[in-house]
Amino acid sequence: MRKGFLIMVAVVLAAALAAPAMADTSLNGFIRTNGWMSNFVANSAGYIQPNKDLPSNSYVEERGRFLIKTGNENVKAVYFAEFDQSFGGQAYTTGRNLGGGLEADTTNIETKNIYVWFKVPNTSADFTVGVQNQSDSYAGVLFGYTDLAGVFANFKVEPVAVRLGWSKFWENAINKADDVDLYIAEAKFTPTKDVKIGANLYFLNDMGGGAKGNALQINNAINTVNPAEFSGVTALRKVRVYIPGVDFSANLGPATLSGFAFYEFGKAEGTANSVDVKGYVGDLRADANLGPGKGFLEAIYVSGDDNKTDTDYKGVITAGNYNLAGAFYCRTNMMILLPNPDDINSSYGLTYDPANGGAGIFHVAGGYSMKLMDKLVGAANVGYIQAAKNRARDQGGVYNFAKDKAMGTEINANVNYNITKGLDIGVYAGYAWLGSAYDTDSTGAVTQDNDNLWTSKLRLNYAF
Amino acid sequence: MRSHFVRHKAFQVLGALLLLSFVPVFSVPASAAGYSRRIAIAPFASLTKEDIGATVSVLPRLLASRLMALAGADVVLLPADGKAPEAAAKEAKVPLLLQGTVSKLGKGYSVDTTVTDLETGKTAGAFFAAAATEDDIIAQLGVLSGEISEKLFGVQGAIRATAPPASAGASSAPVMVPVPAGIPSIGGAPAVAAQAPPPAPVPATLDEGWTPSSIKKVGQSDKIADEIYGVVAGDVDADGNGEVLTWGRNTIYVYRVKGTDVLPYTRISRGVQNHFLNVDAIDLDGDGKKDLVVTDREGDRMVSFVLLRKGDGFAETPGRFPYHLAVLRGWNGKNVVAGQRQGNSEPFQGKIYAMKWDGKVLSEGEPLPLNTSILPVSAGGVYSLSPAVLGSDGQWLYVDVEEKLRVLGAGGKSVYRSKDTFGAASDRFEYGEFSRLEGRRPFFVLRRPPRWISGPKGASLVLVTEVRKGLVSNALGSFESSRVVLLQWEGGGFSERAGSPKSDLFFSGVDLLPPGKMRRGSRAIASVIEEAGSAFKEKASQLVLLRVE
Repeated sequence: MRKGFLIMVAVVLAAALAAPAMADTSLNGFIRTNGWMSNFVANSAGYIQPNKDLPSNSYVEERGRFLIKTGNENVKAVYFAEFDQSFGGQAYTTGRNLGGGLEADTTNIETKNIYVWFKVPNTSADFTVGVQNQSDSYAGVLFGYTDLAGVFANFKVEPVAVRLGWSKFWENAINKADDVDLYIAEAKFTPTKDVKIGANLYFLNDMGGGAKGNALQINNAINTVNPAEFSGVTALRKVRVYIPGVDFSANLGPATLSGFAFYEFGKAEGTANSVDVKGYVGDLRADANLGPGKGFLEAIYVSGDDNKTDTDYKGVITAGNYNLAGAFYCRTNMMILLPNPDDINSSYGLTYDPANGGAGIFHVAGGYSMKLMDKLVGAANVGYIQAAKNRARDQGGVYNFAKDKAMGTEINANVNYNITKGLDIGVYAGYAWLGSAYDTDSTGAVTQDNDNLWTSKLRLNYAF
Repeated sequence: MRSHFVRHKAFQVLGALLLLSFVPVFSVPASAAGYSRRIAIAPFASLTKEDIGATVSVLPRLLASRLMALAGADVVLLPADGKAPEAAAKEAKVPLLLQGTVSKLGKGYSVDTTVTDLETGKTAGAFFAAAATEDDIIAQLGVLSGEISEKLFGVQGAIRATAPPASAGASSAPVMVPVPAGIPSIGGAPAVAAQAPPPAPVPATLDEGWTPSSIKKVGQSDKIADEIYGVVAGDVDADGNGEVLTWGRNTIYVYRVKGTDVLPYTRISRGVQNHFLNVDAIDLDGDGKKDLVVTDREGDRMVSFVLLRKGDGFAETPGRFPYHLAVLRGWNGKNVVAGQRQGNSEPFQGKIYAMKWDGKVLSEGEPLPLNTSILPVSAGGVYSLSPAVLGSDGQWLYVDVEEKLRVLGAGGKSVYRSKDTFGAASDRFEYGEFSRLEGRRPFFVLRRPPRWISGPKGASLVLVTEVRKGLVSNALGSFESSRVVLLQWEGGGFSERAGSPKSDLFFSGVDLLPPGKMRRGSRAIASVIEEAGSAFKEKASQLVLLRVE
């Protein structure tokens, strides 16, 4: 009895002592539920593969993210957990994305991020060390919203802001130089108050030798390099790619003009032969207040390659070649042509990676959003996408761009109603007219008239 | 028995003498403004479509009784369906005629009266009162009768005496109504002149050694159907009467403080696309009247603007400025507008500037000597920045993004950080690109500035809101309790001197009336959110008038 009392006292004391420390702890995150209806197979992630006479489908998915930060203003420990499931999924099991079945009880917690952030006292410098979320300065074309392990630093020397970073994509044998690393260095200048210019240099050092894991591989998978492209390259040994680029934004009266461009060069070496990488990307975007709302117009070109027999690869290598969703270009708010910023478990696009399997893309889109009433916001977007070059995109030959590059045109719209602070309910719908690229096979012969695509969702989101 | 009778008579004589001795003290010239206390009151007219005829019909009689009680006035009530009021009043041989109307004012009512000097035909005075509800109209007659008694009949202290009682929970000292000797009161207990000996002088200012000990609620406005995110004093006289301004997402509400009343005056609204991040008052054009600088965001663009004082209203100037704006009170001895640009993908960019006004445009002047590259200003920007002299040094008060009260050195280095949270934000704005990780755009919380008050020997005071939050509760507007506190800087830290009772409502801002000065009985105005808007409940807020004792 006395022992029990002592234990209770100890617990109460521990809680009391911990309380002041908790004062600098914050909890943020969201729980989002999407009820989908569409005519293409989703509830997963990746490239949409159109087909004929597609049945419609419906399902409900859910994601919860919990961001816990504790520490003080100079140092914080951050843990980001994620729980994903589909309604009616499995129960009494173990595994990510499971646990929505009857009785749930599934071990399904995912560690999204875990890192320490700290500032150097009385300077503008801060460091983030651990598994963290980073994006490039190119709207996610190279890596966007990417969870990666590494060390990133920011500091500012007015008027220049600098970001330096190193990430370990893949650690192979710890006693060999056979890893995949990304290094970044960025400097953002503000030459005038209305203009910001960034000069960036990234370096992708893949010494993984094409080994299974996260090294660049040559195989049939849609998010790896097309073997036909690297013809003659046997036993990929190392890939070294340098990526200099610029980005800018400028306030021009009522509009903001922004954009970026980068060039990717380097070499993919095999034990026999090698390929020179020569990809490039350009993007231009205008945002403006138009009438009662705001609108945007954006065009992006990602280079592709249409010559499989030479020793040049004119597409771009992105983090999407290393893992699905490593590259995530989504800011034109498409629901079908490209992945969407609002995606959770179900995340699809006619092209999921702007490299588009080596074919590249040309995409133009516009959108408009406005407050319809005090708590009601509406938005509409329209976009067109095509491959940058004629070429077969994958070995499967299900669809390709051998004869036609047009992939599709999309319109979508949504309205969101704010029920109370943080809680929104929204209705989303999108429709895409498939381009002619989906009608032909690798020889250019018309094979079938694939169905246009549509999708819709009812979304409930609580952000806290 | 005889001695008892004599003593009794002596007391009576002494009492009469004492009473008489008060007559010259409290009685005033019968016609301070040149008018005798004889007045006719015509029936009031209702200018609203609402059915308030029953209330309006009794106003003349109620006003008459109050004027008779307060000023001993001889009042003639004119019949409703008689001849013309002027003719009827002249026939009654009274020199003044009071006519009144009741009209709709927003969700409340305005009671307006004019008094005509029948001899000259000119207006002797105009008086008004605002009522939040129909029931409040009668309550506001006290204010009207007090003003008329004081300004027309010269009854000193009548306005104060007739101020409405403090609302529940507030306590205020009982007010002795001065009544001229021999005048019977009507409609209530006879008012008796104070006979107690004058109290010993007590310190009334900080310099005299007065120490604030409590902050009490003495009045409140009507309900404002909005979430109000802050409050700032406009043109306010030394007694704390005048204009105060509060704002919601896209509406500025101008109120007038008169005694313990907080009355709606006007409002300035913009479309739903607009988002007012801050509203501040400063005399920009040197006309002695405070103008308004409004930090406004339309979509993602800063479109801040200036409203210049014109007569009783405000006129918008055509310029739009891409700056976050805040007024720094007493920076280098003067009030200045501080401005900081919005960045391209971040909430703030570069230095904070003292802005210049050329009559049309706000432009950058000299940069403030603050390092905006280091915490806490690097994260929090210009909002909540407030110059202060603590001890003998010029410093800054600041509420950081974690809502801790800071003292910054002249260059911006933090020298003090509070444990508790002060100046907490009730509003925020989003900026930059959508974060997939957190499922929303980054946001920036709009903390409210602490109000610095100079004290003796460097013992500065700070008036600020305090918001207590749960251990891990950091959602905007989520809190356990809030209140207004008065802190004193001593020994390198702040200690509490006075505070209002804890409230379940959210105190979103506070300001002193007039700003920067405090003495015993000083008043402060606070913005209070009663209900955050949602699909379940309508937004509701109010302004609360506080008194420091």
